[in-house]
Amino acid sequence: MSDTPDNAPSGGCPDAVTLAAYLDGMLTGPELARFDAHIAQCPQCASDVAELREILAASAQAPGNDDLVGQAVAAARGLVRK
Amino acid sequence: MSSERDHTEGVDIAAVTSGRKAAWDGFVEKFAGRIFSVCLRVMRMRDPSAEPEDARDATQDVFLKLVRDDFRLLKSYDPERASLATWLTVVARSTTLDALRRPDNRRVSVPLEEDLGLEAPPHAHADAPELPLELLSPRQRQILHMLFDQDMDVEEVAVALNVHRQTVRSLKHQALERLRRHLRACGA
Repeated sequence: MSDTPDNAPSGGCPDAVTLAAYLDGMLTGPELARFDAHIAQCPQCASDVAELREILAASAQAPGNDDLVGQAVAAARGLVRK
Repeated sequence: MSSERDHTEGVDIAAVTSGRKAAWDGFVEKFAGRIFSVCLRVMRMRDPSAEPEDARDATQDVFLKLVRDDFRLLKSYDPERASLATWLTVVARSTTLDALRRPDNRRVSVPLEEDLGLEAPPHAHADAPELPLELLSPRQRQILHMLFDQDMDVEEVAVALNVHRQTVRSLKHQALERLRRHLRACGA
């Protein structure tokens, strides 16, 4: 999964939207069964899911480094100019 | 099931991907801190001594990736399927891993348009066509100034600015492309 483009599933590994849906508990029925079956036989995807769960559990923490975030914001704002 | 609005925390994705500046700026303001935290956490899971400056660069990479090719990646997000925060976490993680896999992962991203405090733009030659100031970013002007006016090589510029050599080459290429297009349009 880590090597899969964010918006283009390849080799059976889920794309970013499907992975996010799984993490949010939004997959149901056959799609959920397919995902569970995939991570049961794909150690990389299973590892990705575990790490993402850990990251999401910690994401409520304050970011800190306000100056650096501000620099990233200033640069990103410049990407759209109209 | 949560509504689409809940999933995007009030962000109008259609407005963002249509290129409306106010919508984009709001999106950036809302999620930059969270993306930065994800990038830093992913880095420190692999290298506890990872510097916050590298997470800033990775955050910039994430936004660049989202906006590239007319918002191709951001348009692939489906608010009916997952929350924007979770999807951005997935994207930020994979972007950070991509950055870490590059041969030299220190200062690997192409820095964006920040002002580096350049004291003056490169001087124009007397017989050179006049160039609009906004044609090049401050960083592009600085790179050209160092390469051509100060005769520095790519390695020297990279060391002086604390960026990767490839960054210098990319900015030089982008700047020269802009100059070529401008001069062609002027019939020069």
